[in-house]
Amino acid sequence: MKKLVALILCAAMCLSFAACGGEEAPASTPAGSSGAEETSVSGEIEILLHKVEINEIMNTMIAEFNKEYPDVKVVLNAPGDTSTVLQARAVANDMPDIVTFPYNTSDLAYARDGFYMDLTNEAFMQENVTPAALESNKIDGVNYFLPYISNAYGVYYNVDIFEENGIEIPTTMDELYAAGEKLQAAGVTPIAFSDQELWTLGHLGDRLMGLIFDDDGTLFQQIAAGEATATEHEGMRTVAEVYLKLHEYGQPDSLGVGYEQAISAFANGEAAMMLQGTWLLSLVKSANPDMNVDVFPLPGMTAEETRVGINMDLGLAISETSENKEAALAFLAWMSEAENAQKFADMEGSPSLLNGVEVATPEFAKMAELISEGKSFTIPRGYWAPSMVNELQNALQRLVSSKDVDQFLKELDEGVKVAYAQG
Amino acid sequence: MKKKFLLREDTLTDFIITLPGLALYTLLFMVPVVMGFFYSLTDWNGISKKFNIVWFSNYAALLKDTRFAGTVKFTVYYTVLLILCVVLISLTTALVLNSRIKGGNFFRSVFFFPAVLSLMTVGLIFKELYYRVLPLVGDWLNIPALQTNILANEDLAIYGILFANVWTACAIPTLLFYAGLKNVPVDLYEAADIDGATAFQKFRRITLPFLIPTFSMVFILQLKAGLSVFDYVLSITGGGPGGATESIGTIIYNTAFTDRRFGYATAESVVLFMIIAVISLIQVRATRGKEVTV
Repeated sequence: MKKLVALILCAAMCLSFAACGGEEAPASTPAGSSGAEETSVSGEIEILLHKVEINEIMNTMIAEFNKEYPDVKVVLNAPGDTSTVLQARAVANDMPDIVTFPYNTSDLAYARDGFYMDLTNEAFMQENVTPAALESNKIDGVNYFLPYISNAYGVYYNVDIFEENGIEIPTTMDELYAAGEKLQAAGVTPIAFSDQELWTLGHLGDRLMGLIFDDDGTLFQQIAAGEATATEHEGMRTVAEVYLKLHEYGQPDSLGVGYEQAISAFANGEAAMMLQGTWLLSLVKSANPDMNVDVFPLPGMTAEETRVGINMDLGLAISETSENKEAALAFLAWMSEAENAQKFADMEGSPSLLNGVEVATPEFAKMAELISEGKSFTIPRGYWAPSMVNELQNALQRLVSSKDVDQFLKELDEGVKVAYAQG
Repeated sequence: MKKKFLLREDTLTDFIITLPGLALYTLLFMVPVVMGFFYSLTDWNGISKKFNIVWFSNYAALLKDTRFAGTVKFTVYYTVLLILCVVLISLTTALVLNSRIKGGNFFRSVFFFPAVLSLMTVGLIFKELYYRVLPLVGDWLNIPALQTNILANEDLAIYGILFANVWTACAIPTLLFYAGLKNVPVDLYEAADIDGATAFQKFRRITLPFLIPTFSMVFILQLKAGLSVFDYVLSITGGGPGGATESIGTIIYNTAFTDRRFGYATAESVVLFMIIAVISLIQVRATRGKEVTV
């Protein structure tokens, strides 16, 4: 059926191209990042945006862009279920000019299958993006998207509850456990988990793997090749033990709790902490605008080992089949200029991946400080086989249910074999 | 001779009249089925322009896939429970409504109400009920199993989904049974009364045979709903805890859209199609000739 739909859509597209082919203004100046008089760039570009929550911000940015490039018409599409929409459009050979990233690790397949343009040697990439961000977002040695903002994973806490119980911000995992004990004794649920949602289990899991043994994908590759096992891997065992220990401070029936339910429990003071990424802040604030909330980095086993798990939250890629690459490149170059990126950061608030952008979200200050000291790691899931995240999430959910570390490690070994056999 | 010719012309006219429907059915149903089967023989990832034909290796892998076997087991068990609950509850409700109780019209609308709600909404409402209300009921009645959220319990989560599903699924079968009961000629009951039949005998010998076509329909509808259950699982448990409530429907979705293994996912759906086809066929054969037509 896909093929059929694809054929029909293709035919429709060919017709529409033929119709508008004559109107297109001849492209003269190649796009660059110089910011000079480039107003000759024209045409229409479509952006498919996966972060629905920044829809308004992007529209503001586009309006600003149009002041410099009045002849480029930018159409912003944020349909919600981007992953499915993008897939249908990829199959129908109707890719949007600019695609934002990421939704799922498995969507890296688009880059690998040649749907995106190679941006590695574009001047704006080399000049405007931090070297670390360029390096960590390469896929098989190529930069397919402009890394824009990053998310960071930390511990959200209710400042009032911490003060009432005389708890200092934990700097080691043991201190975090001690805080949990203290809160439990005071009758407060220390941590709100949302273990019904697999993705939240996976997020904590891969951040702990990065934090505890700096996973870079080798462990799973070795397990797949039969050279190692999770069962014998000390780091992986520690991850499982920490995972269970943290869950001792969660709700007794956390496995039945959804994401929204956990947020409302945390925002209403029923729980003191929540382990989540930067994206949670706006949700907590909208659930309870008066809440006194702050974030500290998820502590390592020792204070020196504490590092922040970061991941690209918004990247912009240009479709290889775009009819208007010049305008698309001009848009990306414009977005990456420090001055414009700063405007974006002022509105959005996530850590930026571009040079010379200051982000002033007080809640993220502690994490930003560590990141600027180089105490950060890129979360490991990007290095894994596409369905590995799924296998890990399911195994972690069963771990929370069974509390059996050995069984978990055994299941993980089997899960890795399944995920990597599929390639 | 002439008569035969006429007949043939009629057949031709009939055929031409059905042609648009046939063409649409072929285009929108048969073609996708054939293409779907074709994709199940490939390793297509859903987006790539290139893929390899791997013949039956997807099916071979499916046979050894314990996770898929688990979902088949869950789905079959769930379907049996769903059919039983829906048939029993909606038949009882229909019988009660048919017995000319006071406010029959009012109750008919009340029982039909869940059918107009969206599946996702119902799922989310019940999810909140299990999270906030049911544990309180458990505390009050002192039933340990209910004191924590049942969706967190591997053994009980299935009943959480089932309850929400039955609540909405009973509406239309109730109406169907009710309409079926209206079709039973009253004089048969009168004759039975004269012969001194008991209430059960009347139900067994008169009501039931008249309801068999309705049974078949309700059975097939619920069978299909049960075997392809997806929305309720996704909105209530998301397949958890630990994959305990993963149905064939959700695993197909996950394989295709999360793991990006479309070839394998289509193979899974072909298997689901076979299961439904075989059971439907058996069911149609089994009830044929047992029903009464007026």
